[in-house]
Amino acid sequence: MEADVGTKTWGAKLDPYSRMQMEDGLPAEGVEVTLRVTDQAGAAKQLEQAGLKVHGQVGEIIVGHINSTDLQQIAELDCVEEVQLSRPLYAENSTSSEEEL
Amino acid sequence: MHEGKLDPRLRFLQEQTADERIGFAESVRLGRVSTARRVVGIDVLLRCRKGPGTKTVRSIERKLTARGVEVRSSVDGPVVVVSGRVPVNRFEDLLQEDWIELIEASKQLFPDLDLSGRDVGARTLQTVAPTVRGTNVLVGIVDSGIDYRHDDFRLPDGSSRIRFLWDQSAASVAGGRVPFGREFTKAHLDAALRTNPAPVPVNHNDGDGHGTHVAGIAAGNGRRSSGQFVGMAPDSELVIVAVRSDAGTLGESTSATIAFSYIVDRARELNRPVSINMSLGNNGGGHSGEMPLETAMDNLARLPGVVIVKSAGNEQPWRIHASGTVTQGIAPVRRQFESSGSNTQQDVFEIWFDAADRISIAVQAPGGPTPVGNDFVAPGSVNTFETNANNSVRIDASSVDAGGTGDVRAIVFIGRGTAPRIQPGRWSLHFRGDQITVGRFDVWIERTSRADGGAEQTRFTSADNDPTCTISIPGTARRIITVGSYVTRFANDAPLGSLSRFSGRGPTRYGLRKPELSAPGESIVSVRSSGANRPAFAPGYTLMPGTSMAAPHVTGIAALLLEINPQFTCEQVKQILSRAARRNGAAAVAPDDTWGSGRLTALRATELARTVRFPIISNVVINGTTLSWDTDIPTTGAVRFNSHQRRMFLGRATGSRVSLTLGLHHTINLEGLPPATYHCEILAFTPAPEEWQTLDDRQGQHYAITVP
Repeated sequence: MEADVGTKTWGAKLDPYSRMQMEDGLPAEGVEVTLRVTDQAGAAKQLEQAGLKVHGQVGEIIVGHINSTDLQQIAELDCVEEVQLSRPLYAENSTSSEEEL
Repeated sequence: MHEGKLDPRLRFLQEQTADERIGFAESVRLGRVSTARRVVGIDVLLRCRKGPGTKTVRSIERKLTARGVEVRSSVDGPVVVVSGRVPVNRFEDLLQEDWIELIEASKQLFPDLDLSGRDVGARTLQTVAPTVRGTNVLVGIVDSGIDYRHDDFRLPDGSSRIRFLWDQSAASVAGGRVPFGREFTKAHLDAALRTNPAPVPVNHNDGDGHGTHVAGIAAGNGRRSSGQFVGMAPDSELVIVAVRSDAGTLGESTSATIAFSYIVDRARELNRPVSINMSLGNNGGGHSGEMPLETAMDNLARLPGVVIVKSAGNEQPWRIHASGTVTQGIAPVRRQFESSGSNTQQDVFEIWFDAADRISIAVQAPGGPTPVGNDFVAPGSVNTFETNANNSVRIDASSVDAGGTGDVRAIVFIGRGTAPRIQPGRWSLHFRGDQITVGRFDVWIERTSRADGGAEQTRFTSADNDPTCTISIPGTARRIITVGSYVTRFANDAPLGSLSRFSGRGPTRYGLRKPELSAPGESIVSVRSSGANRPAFAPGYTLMPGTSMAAPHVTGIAALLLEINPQFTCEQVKQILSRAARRNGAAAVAPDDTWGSGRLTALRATELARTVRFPIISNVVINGTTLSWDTDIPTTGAVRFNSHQRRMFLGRATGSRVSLTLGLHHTINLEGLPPATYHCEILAFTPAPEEWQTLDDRQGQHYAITVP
């Protein structure tokens, strides 16, 4: 039987990659975040009150910008299940090095 | 057994059906292929060995003529080289002759966008009545941007085919409806194309060129090349998002997420269906659709008239995945990886395993001591240390319920610390099973920019490399269509028609099949951005390989299916494309986790799209432990379930029950299962041979049944 895991601390809501970025120091101009929320209808309003500038929402996923100092406050909200800072993407055209491998 | 005697290009031709050969022959247009009597004759060079019965040139020519070769000339020597024309259907006879050492096409074929279009059957759809060209359908591209001035993205009157262009890097304007960057409408673009200076300057220029190339494959109209290099959906209109990027990267997960919702919003605004392409990715996640970006894509892909297509990624040769099984009380399992001397970047390792297990992790630097005791980091813990070579290592295993999946996600960071680079040599990850129920673990190395040939990219040793599960993220999202690449241009000794060596492989970590299918990706000529520093293959066009190029073939063909039925869902388009896929030649192994269902086949897909009838599920009722529903046409049914809702969302069912009687009403009882609340999805199947399927998971919320 598989069981859902219960309540988390705010730090545990951040993925390890984001925690590492936090420890390295977040930029003064703030960060883009992707949040997984439990209350799809009401979460955006709560998040805005906590300082998130909401860029958009797709179901339980909300994307926005936040001052770095407000990140903990956002992560502590009950409606927030997961916090992920942005990760880079890469173009998937192959390179000659791939063909030589 | 004679395969090595036949030029791969000819083998590719030999594998085609009669109709495909005609299309291929026509497209070559080199005056070297005749199509008389629907038999393709192709100019070849034959290398013939002298011996009993073939002692002279004349005897060789006579034998060849008897076997259907139209001999033109011969060059005598230790071996005899004969030039001539051979019907494709006679190759097999010639291969039986042991004195024929080699049959080679006399001139290299150039299967570019014009040929890949023919290979998948798009040309016929575009030119033979009733034509299907993407009319009234939008093609969305999330990429580096577009050369909006290029003729292939303009109508015959010179106006733009682009309805919206969101440049995420452009300076914002007050009152804009995008959260950052700048949105340009068709009116802005038309004005910029007509007048100079434009009333609203559109300074966007695709400096990378990747997005322009991708857009050309999906939707270019071939205007610049007088119809030679035509994309898959040439009459569609475009919505482009140029993502923000830094050197070596192209976009970020957050800005990509919002890009998808922006495109879907614009499609809704225009009341049009949309097929969206993403040819970007990374390795950061559990490779079963867990990432927030993947959830967002899956949510959007549920909507009628929205199809999302993603490249499978080119990670296959980079040895970025390892896996294994640990056993409680047994010595730790080791996985080794190699760091080159040029690695000045940070290495990131993503480790995933079931939360039912307690697997502790340790890192061993080259020449360092074998980890013992407290060197291992248990789930819920973090440890940071410095190696003897002054590199920094951080092991963070504190995500004990990663994204609500019930899995542990650990990350190992190796930074150069105070050293100039990460220590070259062989490093090791050690996995110790402290308490084991499942025991399986997976590790991925995050990709780097791979500048300078990718020397800085850390890789697992060949012995520890696991070539499965190498689809790049977000291509592991469950509901989207993920596309591998096959070869349609002879290069780098890759046989025509074979799967590209770089093409990412499935399955997902949860065992779901990926990619869904494969399309031409190596190599493709498509639109060249005038702002990009890429060599021209022909004026206005450039050549690129990659799954980046395979995906937009599918995106464009999906747009054609949406023209036939604008209400198709991504899941339905996926079924149609999978059913239509060809499994000839090297793809005969399909369906599998390399090819998916096989090669993209547009003609058959549109035929199916015109006749398919997917069952509609309605009147779903939960009564105690039973789940009942109706369908509009006779079906069989099934219920898949898991007591863990998030895992069910990701497609990981722990059980299923079926209703095999063909009918319009079905009831399934979950009685007898261990007490729990089960999150269920319903499946309805039409009878064989069609077996079309409808999945109802209550828009991802599932039907909850409590078994007391």
